[in-house]
Amino acid sequence: MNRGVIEQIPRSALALMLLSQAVVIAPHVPRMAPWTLAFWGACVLWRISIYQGRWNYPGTWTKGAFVILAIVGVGMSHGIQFSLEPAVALLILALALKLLEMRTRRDALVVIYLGYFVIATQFLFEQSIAITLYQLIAVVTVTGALVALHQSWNRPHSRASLRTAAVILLQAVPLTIVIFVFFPRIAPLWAVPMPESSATTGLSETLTPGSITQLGRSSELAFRVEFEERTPAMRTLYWRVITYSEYEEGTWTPGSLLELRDPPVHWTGGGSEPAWLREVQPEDRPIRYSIVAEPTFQPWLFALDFARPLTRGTGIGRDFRVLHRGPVTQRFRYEVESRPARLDLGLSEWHRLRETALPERGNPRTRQFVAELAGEHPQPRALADALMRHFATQPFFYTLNPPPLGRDGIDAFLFETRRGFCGHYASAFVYAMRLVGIPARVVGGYQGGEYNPVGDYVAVRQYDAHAWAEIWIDGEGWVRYDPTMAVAPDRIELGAQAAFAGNAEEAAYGRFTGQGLWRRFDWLAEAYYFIDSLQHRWNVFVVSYDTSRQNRFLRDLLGELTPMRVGLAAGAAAGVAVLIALLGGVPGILARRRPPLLRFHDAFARLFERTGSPRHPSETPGRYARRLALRYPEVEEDVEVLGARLEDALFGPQADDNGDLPEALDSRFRLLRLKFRLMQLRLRRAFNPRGDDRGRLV
Amino acid sequence: MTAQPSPRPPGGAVQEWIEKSLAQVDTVLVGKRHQVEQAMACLLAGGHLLIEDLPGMGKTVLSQALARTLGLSFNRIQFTSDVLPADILGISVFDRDGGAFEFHPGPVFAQVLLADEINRTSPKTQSALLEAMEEGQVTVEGATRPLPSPFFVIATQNPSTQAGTYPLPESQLDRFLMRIELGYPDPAAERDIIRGIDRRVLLDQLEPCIDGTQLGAMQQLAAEVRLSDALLDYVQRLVQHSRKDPACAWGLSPRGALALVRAARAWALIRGRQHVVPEDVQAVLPAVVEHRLREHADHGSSSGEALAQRLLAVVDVVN
Repeated sequence: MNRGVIEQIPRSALALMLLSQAVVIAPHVPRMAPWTLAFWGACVLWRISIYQGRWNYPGTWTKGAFVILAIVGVGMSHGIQFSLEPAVALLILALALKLLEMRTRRDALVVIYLGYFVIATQFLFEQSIAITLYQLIAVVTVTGALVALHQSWNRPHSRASLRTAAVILLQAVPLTIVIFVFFPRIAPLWAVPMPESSATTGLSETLTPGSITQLGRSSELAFRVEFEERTPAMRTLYWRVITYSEYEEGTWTPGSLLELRDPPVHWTGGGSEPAWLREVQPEDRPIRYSIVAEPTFQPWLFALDFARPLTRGTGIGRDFRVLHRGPVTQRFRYEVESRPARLDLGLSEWHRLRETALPERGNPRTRQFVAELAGEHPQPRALADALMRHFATQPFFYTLNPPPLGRDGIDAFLFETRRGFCGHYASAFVYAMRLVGIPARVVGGYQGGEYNPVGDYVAVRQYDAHAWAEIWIDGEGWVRYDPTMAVAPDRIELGAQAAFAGNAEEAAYGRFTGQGLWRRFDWLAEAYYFIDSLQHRWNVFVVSYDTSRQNRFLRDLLGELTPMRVGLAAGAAAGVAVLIALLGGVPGILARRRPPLLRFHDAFARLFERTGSPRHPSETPGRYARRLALRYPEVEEDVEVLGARLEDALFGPQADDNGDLPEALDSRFRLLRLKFRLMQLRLRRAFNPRGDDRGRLV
Repeated sequence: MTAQPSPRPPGGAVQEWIEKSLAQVDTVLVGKRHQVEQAMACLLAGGHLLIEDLPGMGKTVLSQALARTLGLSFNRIQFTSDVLPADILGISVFDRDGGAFEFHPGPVFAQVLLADEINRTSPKTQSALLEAMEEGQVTVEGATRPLPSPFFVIATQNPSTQAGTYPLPESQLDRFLMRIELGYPDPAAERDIIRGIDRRVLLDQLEPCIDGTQLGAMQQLAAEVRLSDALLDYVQRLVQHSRKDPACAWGLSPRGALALVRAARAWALIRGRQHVVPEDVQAVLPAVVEHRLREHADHGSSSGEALAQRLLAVVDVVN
C-alpha cells in the first residue's frame, strides 16, 4: 500500500460503519428530535449513493449549508441554553455529516472514533445493566468497523471482522476490570450540564390535597435500602423526606429552614453538634442501613427516624430529615444509623409559634368540631387518639381519586366527602391539632417498601409515597400519628402494592395494575426480584464505585494503603489479567508450537529474508537454497548443502517423524550464519565506505 | 534436488523399465515428455486418465503407444451420441450350435481402454463405462464379470464448449485420477507429422518393454513410496486451503486428497525416488485437482486451472 495515496474504504468496512452508527445512535433516539434521525438517514443514503458512484461528494457550499442547518435545527429543537441533549444531538449530527466527507482511511478513522465517543455519552443519561450490555455490543460493532478498515480488499465478509473485534474485546476484559478497580477516580475537571429530564417523584415541595383529584402513581424506583441486620417490619418503615410546617389556603409548604435559628443543618463530620441535636435522646439499639437513592434533583434524602447519616456530604436538618449538599443529580449511596428516639426535648417559643400557626379564619365547622372534642379530651394525647378514633369509626374512605375540595377544604373533607388519600388525612389531622394550639406538622415521605428476598433489600417506589402527622407533646417531643392507618390499615400493614392489588381501583392505574397482576405468578415474581437485585448490585458495586468506595475496597484487600502497595497490587493484577487474556490463546499457541526442524527452517529463511530474498511459499528448502546460491556465490556451497539437508530431513527417506534437528545440521547452520554475516559486512563496506547508510545488499 | 541417491533395487530395475518405456513412447509422441510422464504416473498409481484436448492432437497415439509399450491389450471405443451401454459392455447372443446364449464381451474387456470423445455420448452410456472403471467389473444380464487387470481407462474429451457434447458431471469427473491436456506439438514434431511420417506405422513397430507382472510390481512399488509427516502436512494444508479459499466453490474431498497422494507417489517413482518430495506434489497437483475444483460464481469464470495455480502459489510448503 502506498502511503500518501488516497486509500479507498473497503466495502465491508463501510457497511460495518453504517451498521455501527445505527447501533450507536439507537439508544439516543428517545431524546432526539425526529428530524435528527431523518438527517442522519439522508446522510447515510447519500453516502451509499457515493459508494455506488451515483452521486458525488457534496461541495464545500453544500457542506457549509448542512452544518448551518444542523446548528440552527438543534437550536430550535432544544433551545439556546447549553445542556447535554443539544450537545449530544450536535455530536450525532457531526457523526452523520462526517460520513459525507469521508474519502480516505484517515477520515474513516475519525468517524469510527466519534462512534466510540457517542457510546460514552450514552452513559451520561443511563447506567443500567441493560444499557451497558447493549453498549458492549455497540463497542463490538464499532471495533468491527475498525478491524474491517484495516483488512484488505479481498476480505468480503464483515462477519469475520465482527468476530475478530469480539475476540479482541474479550481479551481486553480482564485488563479492563483491573483498570476499573485500580485506576484513581479523579474528580471531573469540568462540569457536564445534567440531563434536562427531571425525575418523577411522588413527593413535591408543596402539598395541596384539595386540588388533587387523581394521585399519580408511578412504579419508578425511589431508593433501595439494605439493612445490616434483620429487615424491620414494613409497617414500622416511615421514610422521612420532608416536613410541611406552613399552611396557607389549603396548601402545606415546608417553610424556609433559614428561618430557624442555630445551624439549620448539621453536616456529617462538620464540627460539634448543635444544641437541638444534643437534646435528642436516642433509645434502643441502632439500626444501620445503607441506601442507594435514585436521582431526584432535590437535596432531600431518605431515612427512618431518628437518623444520623454517616456518609460525608450528607447532614441532618433541624426537622430531622436527612439532606444532601446540593441536588442529588446522580445515583447516590449513603449510610445511616437510625434509632427510635425521643425527638427534641425542648421546643423554643418561636418554634412553637411556627408549628402552631394557622390562618385565622376558615373551616368553621372544623373549628367548632375540634373545640368540642378538645372539651372532652383536654390532654394532647387524648385529643389525638380521639381524632384517630373519629377517622376509624366514621365512614371515611381511602381513595386515590378523591373529589375536589373547594374553599374550606378541611371542612369539606371532614364533613362532606370523607374520601381522600394520606395527604388529606394528615393535613386535616395537623390542622385540627394546631387549632387547639398543639404544635403539629405534616411529614412527607415514603412508607414501607417492597422486600426483595433474592437481594435481601427493600425497594421503595414512588407509589409508596406517603404523608403522616407529627405532634409535639411536652416532655416527650415529636410523636408520629398516622391517621391513614386508622382509615386503611392495609395500606400500612401490607404496603401500597398489596393494599391495592385486587382492589376495584386497580383498573384506573394501568402500570400499577399490570404489576399487581403478574406478581401473582410465583416464578415471574422470582424473576422480577432477581433482575431487580441484579440491578441493585450493579448500582452498588459498579456505578457508585467512587473514590471512597475504591479506598475502602482496596483497604479491605490490602490493609493500609501506601502508594507502593497499591502500585504493586495493580501491577500484579494487570499481569494476571494479561496472563488470562494470553491463556485464552494458549491452546492455539500449543497447537502451533513448531517442531525444532521447522523452527530451524524458519531461522534459515529469516536469515536471507532480511536481505531481500524472501522465500516464496511454494519453494521447498532445496529450491530456495539453489536460488540463494545463485545470488550469494560466496556462500553457495554452504547454502546449497544446508538446503538439501534440510529438505532431506523434512521430506527425505529418513525424515524424522518427530521433527528433531540433526546435530550436524545445526552446527553447519551456525557456520553459515557467521559466514553470511561477514559477507554482508564486507559488502556493506565495499558499497558504503563511510558506513553511514543503512542500505541493504544489492 | 536430492542430496542422496535413492535406493535402487528393486527400484533400480524399475527405474530402467520406466526409462525405457518413456523413451519408447517419446519416439512416437515427440516433445510431450511431461504429458507422457503424467500418463505413466497415472497408470502406475492405478488411476484412470482423462485427456482433454482438441481433436487431432495425438490423444489416441499416446494411449495406444502406452498400451503397446507396457504390453497390455488395447481396445478402443469411439463414442458417438448413439452408442449404447451394450456396445461397450458386451451382449449375449443365442448360439444356434450350442443351443445356449453365449456372451460376447464388449470392448471394455481390455487392459487399456481408450474411450474416445467420451463426452459425445449420452449420460447413460457414460455412466455404464464409469461404473466399470470404479468397480473393476461389469454386470451384464445378471452375471458379474471381472475386467482384466490392470484395467486402465484413457478417456478423451473435446473441450466442452464444442458442439455436440454432454459434459461429464462432477461426480464422474472425480473418477479420473488425472486430467491432462496435450497441447500443440512442438515445431520439430509437427514438421515430422506434416512431412508424412505416419504415427500409425510407428505405433505398429513398437515392442512391449515390460510385461504384465512387471507392471504389477511397479504399481505395488508406487503404492509403497514413503511419505514424510512434513509432506502429509503440506498435502493437508493444500486441501484445507482449497476448502477455505472463498474463490473455490467447494474444496477438495478426502478422495481428492488421496488422489493427490497416489499421483505424487507414482511421480516420485518415475523420478527414481522412494520418497515423495513437495515438488512431486506440485508437479501432479494441476492434473489431479483442476477437474475437481470449480471457481466460485462471484469470482469470475476462470477454470480450475487458475485455482490450482493459486493453491500452488499461496500454500506454504513448509509451514
